[in-house]
Amino acid sequence: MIEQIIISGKQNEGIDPVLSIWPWEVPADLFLAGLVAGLLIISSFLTLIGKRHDYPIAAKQAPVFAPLLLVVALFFLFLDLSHKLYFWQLYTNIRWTSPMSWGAWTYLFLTPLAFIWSAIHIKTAFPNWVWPFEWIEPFIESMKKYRMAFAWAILGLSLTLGMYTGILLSAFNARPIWNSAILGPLFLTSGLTSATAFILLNCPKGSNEKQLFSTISLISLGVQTFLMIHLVMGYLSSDLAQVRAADLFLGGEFTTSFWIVIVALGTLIPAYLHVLYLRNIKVPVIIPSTLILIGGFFLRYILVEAGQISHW
Amino acid sequence: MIEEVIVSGRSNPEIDPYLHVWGWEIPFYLFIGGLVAGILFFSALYTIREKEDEFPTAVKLAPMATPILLGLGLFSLLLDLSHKLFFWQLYTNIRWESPMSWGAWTLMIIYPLTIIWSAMWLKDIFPKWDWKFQWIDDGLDKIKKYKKMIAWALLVLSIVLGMYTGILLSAFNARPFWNTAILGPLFLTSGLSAGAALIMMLSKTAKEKQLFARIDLMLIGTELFLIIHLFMGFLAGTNVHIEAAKLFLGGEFTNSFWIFVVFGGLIFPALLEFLELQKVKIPHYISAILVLFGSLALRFIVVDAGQASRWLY
Repeated sequence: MIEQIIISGKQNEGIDPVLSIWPWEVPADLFLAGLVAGLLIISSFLTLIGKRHDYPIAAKQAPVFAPLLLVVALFFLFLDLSHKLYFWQLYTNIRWTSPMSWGAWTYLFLTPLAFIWSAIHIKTAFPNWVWPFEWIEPFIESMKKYRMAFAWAILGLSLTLGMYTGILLSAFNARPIWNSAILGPLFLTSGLTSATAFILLNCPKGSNEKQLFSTISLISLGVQTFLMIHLVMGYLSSDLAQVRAADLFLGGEFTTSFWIVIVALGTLIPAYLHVLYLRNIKVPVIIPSTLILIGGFFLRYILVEAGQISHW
Repeated sequence: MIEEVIVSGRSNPEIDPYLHVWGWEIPFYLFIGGLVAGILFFSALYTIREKEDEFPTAVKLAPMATPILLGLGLFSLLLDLSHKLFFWQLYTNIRWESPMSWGAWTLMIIYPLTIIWSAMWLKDIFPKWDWKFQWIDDGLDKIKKYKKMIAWALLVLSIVLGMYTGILLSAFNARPFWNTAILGPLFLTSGLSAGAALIMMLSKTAKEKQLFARIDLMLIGTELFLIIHLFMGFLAGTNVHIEAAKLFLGGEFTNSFWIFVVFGGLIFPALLEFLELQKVKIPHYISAILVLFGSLALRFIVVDAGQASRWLY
């Protein structure tokens, strides 16, 4: 008899029979990061095309909340770490082949920019805002001169952030559900949809802006559905591991949650409500917006869970 | 000694060492399919938004080309068939899990619609046109009342047509370079971009030219974004996918892809369109032709590379 010793990562804790290392913190981070990316993309884009006064909620008011959401997202990420005191080691090198490294550096550059961007616009959201120290006011005023430069940087970084939330998962080739090239575009689009829902919550009744963002939200939901169809078609036409993985959604344990929470409640019903609103039927905007935000969170949550269960 | 007989599709001619069953006909057809999808999409979209008179090239003039283009595309498909006389057997069943079946049925429905659609707008473009028979005039007038319904049908069918040109390839799991979920969205976007470029080239008003330059610029951005994801997807995939991507990252398709498709067909025309929008005088047809050429080259290279990529080495 020939004895062989096989050393495999699968013997590590939390790997076999199913991966169980990511509970709620990572999906919550991915959701919030996607939302922040969407808010900042829309705000910086509107600023760059010179429409920030036409759509004040999207361009100036909503992004005020971006740094707060970003900090919560980073806190969730921090909670997930096993060795919390060593998080800074991510910043001791740059690995351009690792999405986690991209993400870490993007957070590092985007967070201060998001704070400055928020400070520039804070008086739109809170007109009575007073800075605690006198020197802050002139400093923020001087920053306004570089608005366009900030907008370009934020646009690039927030697009990267939105993509990275998907690629973080899709770069794992050991997990068939995650290993799809469509996940990056899907999560970016879903982040944009969440951002439109957040903006709509802040829009005054009957404004042009509300009309426009209902339309954008509807289109974004359409693109999201289109990408989800491609996601499932992609699994089904791939190798057996991915075909089996897709079964988790097509009769397996995630079938109900996926189709009811994500497809029906998170996509189709809010899309229908947007159509009704655009046809001048009164719909309280809180309903579609809340549904979209919940759907956005569960899209991450279910994909993170299903990815950990799917295996070769 | 134990003898084993292995029967495999690989022992068929033209399968090993690499597939070479598809010559120029299929990529040419895929290009035409995408272009037609793009033209019809914008025509239908601006009909639904009631902007027929604002954007006459997109809504009325450009779709005139679609019956002819589709005819050419379908003829090249027919040329590709080994058993030309049996093409009709595609219409003896519906297989919803086969992209080819989806494509065949979509074409069957969309082709007559393009003829009706262009006939409907013919008198708007050529006021002196005479149908010779009164009943054609009457019939078209009646159909025109339902133009929004037809537009909705065209909108959906054009998206299916554009998607299918990509999925036709991505559904082959035996060919790693084709087997990626990003190909459907990529080909659809490329088709829409080709359609927008053609409309921009044919248009006579500055307003319409500018709108479609802007649309095309966004579509080119999306295409570059999807191409990045395509390659990231391959590189994060299994070893066969990594090998397939290497055909473009140092392998035999490196020059043709990055020069003709990415630079010549996307980045350079995007730069020209950007300058045009900044009021620099550059004839619109230069960027339009580059985009159309890039779109054609994308199909040729993807079809060839897919046939060259494989599982066993």
